[in-house]
Amino acid sequence: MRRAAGGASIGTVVALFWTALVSVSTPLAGLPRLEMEGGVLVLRSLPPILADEEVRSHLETGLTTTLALRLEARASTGRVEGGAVVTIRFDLWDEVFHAAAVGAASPPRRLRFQSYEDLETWWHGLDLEVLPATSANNTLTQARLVIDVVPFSAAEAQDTQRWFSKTLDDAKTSGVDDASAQQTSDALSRTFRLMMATSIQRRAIRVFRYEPEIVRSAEEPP
Amino acid sequence: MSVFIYFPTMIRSRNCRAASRSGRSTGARAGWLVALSVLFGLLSVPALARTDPDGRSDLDDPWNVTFRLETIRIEGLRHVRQELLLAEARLEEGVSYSESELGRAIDRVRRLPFVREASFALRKGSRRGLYELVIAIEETRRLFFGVSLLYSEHSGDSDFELDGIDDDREPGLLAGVRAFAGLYSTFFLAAADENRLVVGYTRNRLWNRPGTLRLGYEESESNAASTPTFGASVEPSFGPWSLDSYEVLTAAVDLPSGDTDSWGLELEHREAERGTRRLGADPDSILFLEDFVDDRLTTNWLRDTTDDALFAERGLRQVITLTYRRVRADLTQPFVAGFDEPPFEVESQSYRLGFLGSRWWTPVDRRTVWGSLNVAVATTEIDELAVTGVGDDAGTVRRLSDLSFGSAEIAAAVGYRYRFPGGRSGEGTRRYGGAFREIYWETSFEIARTEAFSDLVGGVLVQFEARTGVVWRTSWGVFRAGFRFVDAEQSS
Repeated sequence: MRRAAGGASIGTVVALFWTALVSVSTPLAGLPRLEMEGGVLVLRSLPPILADEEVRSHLETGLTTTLALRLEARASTGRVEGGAVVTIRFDLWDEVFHAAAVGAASPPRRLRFQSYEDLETWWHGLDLEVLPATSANNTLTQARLVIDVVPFSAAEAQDTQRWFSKTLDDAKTSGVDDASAQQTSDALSRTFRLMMATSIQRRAIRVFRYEPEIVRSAEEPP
Repeated sequence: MSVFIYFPTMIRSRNCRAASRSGRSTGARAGWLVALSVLFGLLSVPALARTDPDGRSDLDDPWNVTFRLETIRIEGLRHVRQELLLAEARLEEGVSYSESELGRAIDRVRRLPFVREASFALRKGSRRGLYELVIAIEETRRLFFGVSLLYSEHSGDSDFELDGIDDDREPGLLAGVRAFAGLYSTFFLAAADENRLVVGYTRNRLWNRPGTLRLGYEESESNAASTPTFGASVEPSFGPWSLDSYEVLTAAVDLPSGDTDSWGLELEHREAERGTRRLGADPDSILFLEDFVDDRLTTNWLRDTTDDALFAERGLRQVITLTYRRVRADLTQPFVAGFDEPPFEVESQSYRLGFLGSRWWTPVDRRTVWGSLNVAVATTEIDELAVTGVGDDAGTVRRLSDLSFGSAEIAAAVGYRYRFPGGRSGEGTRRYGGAFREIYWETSFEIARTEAFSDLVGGVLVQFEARTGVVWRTSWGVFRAGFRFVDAEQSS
């Protein structure tokens, strides 16, 4: 764009300026879906943003890439917000992708993929519980999903990093009794909020916006 | 220049108005400050290189890893030397770093004025556990420009409309060139309106350790309103002087004491051949001064975690400063009704302790909010001074001797910045990007109160300032157009 501006006519410059000023985010191919599952709102069919040139490039740096998914929607009770955080790091020596996903209402998952293709397949098939179960979930309309692709880890801050590791560890050992499950749930909530807060502090490499399709099952009328 | 830059400019101007009560000699005070600064500087410069004997990554927890850098490679260099970039990144080969440390390193690189964009990537090293860090940068152009089209409106006390504050204090036009020499040195030369000339030198490594030396010289035909001459406490009307043939010499050293902190020592010498100040609406009521000299010695502690020097989206910047300041001038030809004193020398000495903290948040992408707080206390001692009156005494002058004052300042500011969308299908992904990508709309509000504590002179100044405008940053420079409103009220 710099070259074009340097040697172009005034008309071209004005056109470029206008285009840059008013350009809006255009979703990539593939529309995510929001589906009710046991009252919980699950985000499915995640768009193929890992294949985006800049995202793919950053995934291969060996440094952590964070995908902060923020969901806003309208419900009968007013505006509701949810989301999820997915972090991915490519281990240069083991040549594997480490991935972790934390949803607002889903337990943390930590996985390892042998190839980029496996990672992409997992991403596309990933179910993220982005809103906890409430009766208002049945009345959702006009959902909006923003995915920030953030360099470095969302757990970059030491406190966040500690929470994140601890929560992942807790998640692996939880389920022994209700009390520990509740503790894990609280820790998850704190970790999720902290990660969201820290991830959006760094300037995103890319930002994607979508209006997910809201799919309601027959037994859960709006 | 971001709106944030206006705040320190403004705050700094007010901060310079100080008052004193110490009875020690000038030399002794300066000596103490130098000693303290050197002491702090020496004590606060640790070995930044953190050694890690085995450099082993914690493979059991892939989210809590460190990377031992076998080599560091910088791509995209055109004019800048690799050594200079590495000195500012404060990264060394053979040392292990966590992601958060690398994140702070990239912030430091991005804050450099000659770096347009920077990114980090790791590559495999020669053996397992070792990495090559690739730093890709884009430099700014060696020529740089600044344009400021700021329309100002004022209300409140008339002094502010008379002595130049109604003119914007930033240069309307600026053009400069930057050159690199040796391994760590940068020179720059800039010319601005009002025949302003600025020459600077920066060295980004000192005594074979991280550190910055800055030398600067600036001269201009006039310096209206930007230099409170004797400090807020000693001018009940808080009115500024307009100085002619103005020169500033600056020498500063900054020594980092961690990833985000540094200690600094700055010496500043300002002088002007002449100065004038109008009193009230009477065009004949003018105070004159000659041979104005203003020396300052400042030691400071700085914490900076911002991701951008001009348009930060996150992070905080905190500065604590301790300043000794000595001002002298010959007050001559005071053609003011009722003031028939012969010319006399005025001199003031002051100490000022200040804190300036600012924080930036971007809760929603492209929408940044920030807050800023400035608090300072000062003491000033004046041998002789012509003091202007306020209220019913407006336009009058009286001579006072052997005055000591205390003063306090507090200022708070909030701001909002919106980055217009740009780039391709998503958002603009580079800080500078192409020619049209980085456009902001900024709005800010600041309220400040300065009070001098004295029975003889002094008063309270309350000032409100609002700004709004559009800023466009390109690889050539920063272009600003906007509106400023200032309301100032004073009382004795």
